[in-house]
Amino acid sequence: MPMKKATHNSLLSGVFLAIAMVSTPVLAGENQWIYAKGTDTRPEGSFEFKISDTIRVGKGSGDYVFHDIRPEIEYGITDSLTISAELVYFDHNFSGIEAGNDPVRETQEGNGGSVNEFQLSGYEVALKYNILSPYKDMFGLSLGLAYEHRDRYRLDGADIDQDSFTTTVYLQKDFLDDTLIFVLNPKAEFERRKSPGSVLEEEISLELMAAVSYRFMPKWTIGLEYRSQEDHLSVEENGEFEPGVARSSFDLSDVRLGDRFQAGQYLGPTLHYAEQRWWATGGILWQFQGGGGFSKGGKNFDEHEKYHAGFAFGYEF
Amino acid sequence: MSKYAAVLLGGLLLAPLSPAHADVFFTLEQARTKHWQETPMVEVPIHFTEQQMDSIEDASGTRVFNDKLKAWKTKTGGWFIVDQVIGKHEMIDMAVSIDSQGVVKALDVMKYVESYGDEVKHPKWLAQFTGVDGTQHLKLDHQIDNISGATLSCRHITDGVNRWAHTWQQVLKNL
Repeated sequence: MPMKKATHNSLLSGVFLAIAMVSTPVLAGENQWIYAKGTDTRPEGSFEFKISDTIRVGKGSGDYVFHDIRPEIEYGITDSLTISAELVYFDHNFSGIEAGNDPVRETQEGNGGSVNEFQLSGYEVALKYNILSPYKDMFGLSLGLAYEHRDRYRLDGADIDQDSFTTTVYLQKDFLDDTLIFVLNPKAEFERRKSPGSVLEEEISLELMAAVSYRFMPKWTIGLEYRSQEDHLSVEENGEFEPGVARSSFDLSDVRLGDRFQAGQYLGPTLHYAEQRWWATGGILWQFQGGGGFSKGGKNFDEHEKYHAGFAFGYEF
Repeated sequence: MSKYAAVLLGGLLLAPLSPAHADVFFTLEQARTKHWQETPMVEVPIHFTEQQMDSIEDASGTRVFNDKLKAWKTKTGGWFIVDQVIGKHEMIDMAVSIDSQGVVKALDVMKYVESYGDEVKHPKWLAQFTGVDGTQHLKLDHQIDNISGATLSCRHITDGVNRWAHTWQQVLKNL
């Protein structure tokens, strides 16, 4: 059973909140969509505080609402290099999930009962480095690298011990005097997760975000966002890998992409408003196609949900 | 759900919602006095035709998003123009003066409301534009130095100067 990390997390919360409170007002870069991001990095020496809540709703049976809440601080080390740190809070409310949807039903509530839990679930630190600017080069290009630790499972809040590294490529092309913006974010996440018992999961998650936004009047931007996510999962229990499944591995001496476990694709509108010091973004993405794992009606419902509603708020210091 | 609400509310409280304030560096009169001292001038109502807008766009490579222009003409044929260029979220108010030969005489940022990038108001950076005319197409990182962290504003002010230079060439010099 993974060790609980309450003390560790409390300390992190304290440090994070202390940093947030003593920060004096200075400057911005912002989320124009729910998942996709542009290539901007923060100006040197400037801070931004962000808080986002991505609400994932519906598992195709019973009731399921999951809030993924992330307060975050971003800081511009140089004009081209931004560092960020965020805490990860999970709020799960679900009941009546049908048998067969194991990731939600079996891990914590084998009886299909109800769960209502709010938990500090981990943290993430990330770097973003800008190489090309969409405002003066042919297109914008930035690279991202992140480390995340979680001790709560995203799907149901169960005890886990998970470490992951994420690499992201940010591409951006602007038109109409930078009022029409297209972005593309291919992303690869390498996760190693220990669950209660002797289960070790290694997962390579591949994501692709594509989005467009148009500034239709000063301060207001409307957008459309697409997100595709799939994972390639290897489960090892008591030293044995799942039979009949080509395994994924990201050990330096053995890198390979095994069988795809599941996939889901989403599409939906976003709206963004920005003032001089703060901005807010809202949007909703519906799963329109999914497969693998626990799927029904051409949609996946173990790793994916019916729709994701996202809200984010940022304040520039 | 109460803890959930506490995190969201706590987060919002950490970010004081101070009202946005615009940084006004010059009023219209201050900019006009800086550029032309007491030189008398009269306001000339400018309303572009579609053909004029197209020709300015073609010559400058920059979109003309307003068919009206606030401009004043001196007795010697110089012009004082108050116009806007695109900023990250809002428009940047600019004042530009062009002499009787179509050469940029002075340029200033009058109002800037973005949260960062206001280094573009510095006289040293703006001085790069004095003496230019429509004979060359100005580009960031070529004739004009970029300010790191303020690239979008630098780019749109550069585009603006290209547009005003060709506005003189296509329209103002004939008035």
